[in-house]
Amino acid sequence: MIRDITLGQYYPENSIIHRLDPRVKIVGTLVYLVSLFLFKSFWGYIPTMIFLFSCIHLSKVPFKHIVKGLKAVVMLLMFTLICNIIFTRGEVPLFEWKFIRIYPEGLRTAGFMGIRLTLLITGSSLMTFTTTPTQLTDGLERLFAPLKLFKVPVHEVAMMMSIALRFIPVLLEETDKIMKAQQARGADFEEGNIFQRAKAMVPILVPLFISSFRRAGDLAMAMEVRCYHGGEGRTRMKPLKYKGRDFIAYGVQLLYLAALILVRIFLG
Amino acid sequence: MSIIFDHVTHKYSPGTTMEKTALNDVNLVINDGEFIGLIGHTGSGKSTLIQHMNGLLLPTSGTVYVDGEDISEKDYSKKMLRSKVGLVFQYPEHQLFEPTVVKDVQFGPRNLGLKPLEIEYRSFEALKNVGIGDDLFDASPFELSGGQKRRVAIAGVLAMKPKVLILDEPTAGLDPAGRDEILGLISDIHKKTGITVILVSHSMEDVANYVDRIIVMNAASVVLEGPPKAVFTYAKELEGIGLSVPQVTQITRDLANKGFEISPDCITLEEAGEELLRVYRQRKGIPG
Amino acid sequence: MIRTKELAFDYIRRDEEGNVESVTRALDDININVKQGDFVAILGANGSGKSTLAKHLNAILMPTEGEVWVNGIKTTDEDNLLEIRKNAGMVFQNPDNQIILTVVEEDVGFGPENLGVPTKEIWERVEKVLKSVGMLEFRKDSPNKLSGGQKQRVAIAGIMAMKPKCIILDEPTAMLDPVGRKEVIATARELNKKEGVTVILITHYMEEVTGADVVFVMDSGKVVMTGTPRQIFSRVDQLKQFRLDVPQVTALAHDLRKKGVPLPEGILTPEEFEEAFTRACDARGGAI
Repeated sequence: MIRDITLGQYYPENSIIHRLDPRVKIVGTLVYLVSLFLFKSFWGYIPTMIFLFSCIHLSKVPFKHIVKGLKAVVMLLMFTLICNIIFTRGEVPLFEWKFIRIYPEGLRTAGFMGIRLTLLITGSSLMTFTTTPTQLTDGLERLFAPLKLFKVPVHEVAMMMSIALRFIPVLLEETDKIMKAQQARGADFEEGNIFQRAKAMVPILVPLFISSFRRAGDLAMAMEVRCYHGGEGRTRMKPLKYKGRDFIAYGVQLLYLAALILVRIFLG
Repeated sequence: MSIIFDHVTHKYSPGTTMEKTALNDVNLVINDGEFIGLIGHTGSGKSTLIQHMNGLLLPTSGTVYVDGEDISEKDYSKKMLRSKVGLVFQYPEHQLFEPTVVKDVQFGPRNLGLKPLEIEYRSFEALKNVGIGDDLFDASPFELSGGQKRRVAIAGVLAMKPKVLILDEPTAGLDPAGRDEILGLISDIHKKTGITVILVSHSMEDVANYVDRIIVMNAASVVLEGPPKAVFTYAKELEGIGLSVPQVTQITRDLANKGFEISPDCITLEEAGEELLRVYRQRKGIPG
Repeated sequence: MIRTKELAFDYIRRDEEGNVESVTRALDDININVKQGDFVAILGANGSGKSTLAKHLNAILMPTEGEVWVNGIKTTDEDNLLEIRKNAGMVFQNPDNQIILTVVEEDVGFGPENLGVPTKEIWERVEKVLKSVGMLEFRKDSPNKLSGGQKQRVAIAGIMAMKPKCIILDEPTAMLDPVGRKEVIATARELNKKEGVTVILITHYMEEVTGADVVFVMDSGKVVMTGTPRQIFSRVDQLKQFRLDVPQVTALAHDLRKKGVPLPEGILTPEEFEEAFTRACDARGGAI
């Protein structure tokens, strides 16, 4: 069922990573993502993996849970690998069959890219595993607060994001119910060619859209009733405040970046 | 056409930390032409149970036989099953999608691949059976009242000419008069067509008036089943799982316990009224 | 606390160019007065205008004619909008569409945040209201994991955290099962009794209004009956005209009374009935 997707859903646990300020985690994730593109040799993966695995270890999120989340993107991963293997050209092919030629360079690039992509997804999902959507949007709102000077509606965008995150599971469940209601009337979503299948989606999408509009209206009213009037004059139940551990975490990020730059200079 | 549950167990997300047993070793026979009330709380497993009857869910272990055939068999046609066992879900909003009422009702028969004339005939007949007049045939289903939407949703399933009609809480959210109208309608359909009807409900009072047999579910199991009168004798057990017998049953039983010569298991308002009047007249020496 | 004077409201439908297509009078000449600390019930069938009335009581809708005052402030007074909404909180029908944030306690804190309440006090309020609706142990949970009744209690807590003088419940139980319904009604009663909050409960479930101080019955946009639950329930036949009904026991007493059994009108519980029936049987002399 679609509801079983675990990718990126908050995993409640009481760990140092969970307790870090979301801003530290957002910046840390960015630093980490950028760092993955800093080097071209396999050596670079040593510090990145040390960094990632220590974070996973500290977060107390079970490794199994993280691997399960990766399953959802296996197709994407395979696709990238195959593209890299087939389309990278080198000098001496290892293998030839009709128009397909596989070079050692292709295998190397595929391996390199595969590891990079896996680390990339694991790293960013670790952030969502350890940060509640509210913290995440709060963090983003604060980090991007300076943009308010340029009339960017930072608070509103953050609020929209957090509502979207709140309603994703609700809508998935609703989709499930609608699908069943139509299947009960003999609808078939599995047979036929791509056009027939696309057409078969109409009986799901129409009720889903109508109910979503209704939901949106209801929700707007519920927010008004609770005196929501934009970001102005709002206080916070959980205001973001840096603590000692957050500065240490920033320090660790700097050290990590420095280590990677050293790898890049000396090992390529 | 009968439906047989033979040691049926259903687990959601089996083998994970989220594993949840929704049906636990259920054995059940539903006979041709019966009118059944299926009662239980949210989460008691009744929703899971009915979805096994038309193959939306399949047992994790055990077997469901419809018309003597095992529905888990690989080459068993789900489409044919769903035309035989019609299921109307709780909220009509989850299924109405066409621009007009008639078109929406035609969706089911169309999926069965019937001829256009047959589709048209069946949809008109189904709409007539649920009391939707010609004036509403071309209306948008989204502009109907709650009760009308419910009727159109039922017609959408009836148009497939099922032999079993399952309705999941068809009266949820309706006002008292709307509720009585829908229940009356369902009872009429049962009488007129003779198809098996399974009515899922929270309310004993709603089903007591109409059904031949009540099935009570609690915590993934069938805990009680039998004719309403028999089921209502287990008032204590029902209260233990948070269900209650109709008020009139409670009254006649209490009065019988207090020494009144009254039949203790009246289940409908009319029945209890007659009994109480008889007892009153007897006491007063008034000839009935 | 809340007062309406000759309140009327028209739903105006416009076509694409903005020309008026049709005008429906949803409320007509409503004059009600709700005292601080009262438990008021508004009964009505679907489409009787009761939800439209509710939306006038905290300035979601503005009257077409007439006036509404909340705590001495006229709802058309735009500068005081927040003050009105803070004083008259509202809980809606669909439990899924009014919980805004992803963690129970954060959602409850949403109202006070909007009102600019200092952080420390938000925490105190959240803790207090979650305790008073019995949801404190779920404070860290995701709302998606809760049952319907629990979600509605969270929604009530979210309103209570704004420290309103009045809380309007707009069909809060229409989408719940009997257990959830009882939870929500019991919570509302308790808030009314213990905290002295004025409660306005809008519903079509008759058994929910038996504890109210005043009941208003609405039909086609008008208040057609006013009185205590006992007075209202004495008028069984009239209620049926308004597509409503009475608890089964009340109907039973009413039927027997018609046939000459001397039972008082407006019996609300089986216990009352049994007592009255016993008394009627034991009384000397024949029937009246």
